[in-house]
Amino acid sequence: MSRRLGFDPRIQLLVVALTTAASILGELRTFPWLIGAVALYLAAQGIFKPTIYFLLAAACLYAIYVWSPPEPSGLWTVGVFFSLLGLRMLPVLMAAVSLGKAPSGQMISALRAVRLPMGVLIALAVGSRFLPILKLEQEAIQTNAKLRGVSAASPRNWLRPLRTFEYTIVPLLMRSLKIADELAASAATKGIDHPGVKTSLYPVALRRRDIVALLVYAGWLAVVWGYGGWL
Amino acid sequence: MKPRVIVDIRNVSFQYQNSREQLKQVSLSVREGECVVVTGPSGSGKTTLTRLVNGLIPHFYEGRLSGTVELDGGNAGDLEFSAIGRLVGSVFQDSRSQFFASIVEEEIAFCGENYGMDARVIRERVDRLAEEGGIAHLLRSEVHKLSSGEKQKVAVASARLTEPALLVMDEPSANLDMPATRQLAELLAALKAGGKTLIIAEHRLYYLLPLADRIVYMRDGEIAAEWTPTELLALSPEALDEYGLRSPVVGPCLPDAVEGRAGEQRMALRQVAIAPGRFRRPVLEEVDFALRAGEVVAIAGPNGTGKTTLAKTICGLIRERSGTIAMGGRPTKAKDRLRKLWFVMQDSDYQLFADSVLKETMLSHEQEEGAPERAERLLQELGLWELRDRHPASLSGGQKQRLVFAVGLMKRPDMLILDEPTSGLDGRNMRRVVKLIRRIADTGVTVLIITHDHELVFGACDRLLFFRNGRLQAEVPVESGHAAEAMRLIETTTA
Repeated sequence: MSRRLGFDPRIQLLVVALTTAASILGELRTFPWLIGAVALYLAAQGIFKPTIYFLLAAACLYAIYVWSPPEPSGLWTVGVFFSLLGLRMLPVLMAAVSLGKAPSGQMISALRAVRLPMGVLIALAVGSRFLPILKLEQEAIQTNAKLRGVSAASPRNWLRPLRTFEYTIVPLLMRSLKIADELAASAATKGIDHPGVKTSLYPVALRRRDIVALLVYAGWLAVVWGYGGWL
Repeated sequence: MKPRVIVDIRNVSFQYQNSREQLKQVSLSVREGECVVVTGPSGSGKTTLTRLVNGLIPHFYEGRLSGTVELDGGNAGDLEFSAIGRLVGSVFQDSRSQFFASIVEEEIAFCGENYGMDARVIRERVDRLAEEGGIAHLLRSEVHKLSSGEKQKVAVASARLTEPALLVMDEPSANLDMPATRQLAELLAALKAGGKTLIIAEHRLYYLLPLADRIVYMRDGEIAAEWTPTELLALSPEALDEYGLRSPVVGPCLPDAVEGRAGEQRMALRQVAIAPGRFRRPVLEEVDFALRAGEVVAIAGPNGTGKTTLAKTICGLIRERSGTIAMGGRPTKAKDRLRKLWFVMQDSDYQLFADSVLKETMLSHEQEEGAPERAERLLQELGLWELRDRHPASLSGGQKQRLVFAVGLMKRPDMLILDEPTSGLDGRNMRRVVKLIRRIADTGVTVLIITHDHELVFGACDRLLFFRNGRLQAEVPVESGHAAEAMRLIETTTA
């Protein structure tokens, strides 16, 4: 697999921050424009497969939201609640996926240049590396849950949501704690908290494409924010 | 002139917070260029000793520490942790939790980036280390998609980037097959020849004996013995058993064939093709074999052959792409097989869901008549009844594995499938698992084992199925007349 060339981590972090603000403050009717813009941002960096999944998820959440009755009750209430929550979180997750794919050395090196505290840097770097591991862990746990008959994917377990939730989340938490501890120990033996200057295997410099990407994205958000009502 | 002492541990005791004492008055000196192997039963303090050397104790893991640890003449407690990282390279056991980067070249470069090395120097070293480790073609690959052997090579290359004088490894062969273990041995021999000091905590000793200067044996947190490789090889099987060590030599040790141990046919695969997913290419095709009641069968083959996919298909987690899988003479669908079989995966942590040992055993059997009595009997048989109120996460590795066996046996399965049940186990626990498997088979349960462990194959199995190049290549009875052939198949390197 060849390495993907993404935007500078500083730009990516700003995009996450801008997207988070837009997701919290923006009106829901503007979200297709927001999600579309983040999808283009991901595609421009060669992140295609996750983008398609995110767009499909967005379409499903929108369908639930649009087709729900004006005054939802029963299961519809739960559906509408999760679709609203999902729609608000989705653009942020999409932007974070891009940051998560940035090489850790490049990320630490680039973010140090903007004088972010070391603790924040390490938390960001560890967090971005932890998500893919968590995904692999979740797949392994669900395989075993299927074997034990407690899988969240099995409809008969939907009738016992609390138990199913417990059997999905608790093993994941236990594994996460163990892995986080070991990952931190491993990183510590490799000098992650060395106080000196960090370098990167890849060149760290703001390029024209980084600036253009940020300006285009921020400009687009301003347009959507200002004219979202009729766009 | 003798080489200088690079590690000097004097009268060190250590106790993790909320735990028993892990090291008791341990003293150990290691000279530059030495290869010291630390062995001993699980929980004897081997990992804790390696943590003293790489500075994780006292800089990362807190606890009560007494005595002195000197690294290259400096007191480890006074040295900056990051300074120790320049002196000591570390390789850990679990590849999932030791890799920080997602791409191979980033992982190898990681240490150099942290220490602010020049990007050009990092690039040169990454390329050179990849070349030396035989992983140059993998530099742009995703770490998580590599085989266990490849991951271990990446881990060693990553630990070497800053050219530390000392390398500390914790069970580096735990997840490796025999060919990958031999490659690791060659790499370690080259490092030793280059003047590096090696400290390796390990259960498998056979591959380290040609390069080890001494073998330090730990028990209950103390250094209980020390041998040269020659002295270790001279230990009798009874002494090895007493020490709880694995065999230091590779070779079959077999009883004569036992007639009539297996019963009627339990499962038959006819022209089966399997794939890891609905839209993926088949990894095994035209698979034909039968399994009988009470039989213990090993599945072997190079990494990536599709052994685990085969096991998942047999137990019903994945549907077969084509062909027939029959149980009791009738074609049986995947969902029906799922009810009749049990799969013990390599890592027990994933298979435990409840908050006590007893609840774990009873999970999904709450409504069954006689289930509590059966659970009690099983837990007593497996030595877990006293621990019934403990949280499964608080058990030792061996106890967790036995609990997963108990969970499976609660289902009264016709067949058990085990994925590398002895990886990372010391000699005593390995022999315990062998006995347990034989005991389960004696009750008429068919046991299918994916394994690279020759001691397990020769200790517990009746037959060996060997897969390679997408096909079942050989079926060999595991008995004295076929021992050499079985050994050759276990050691086969190429996929």
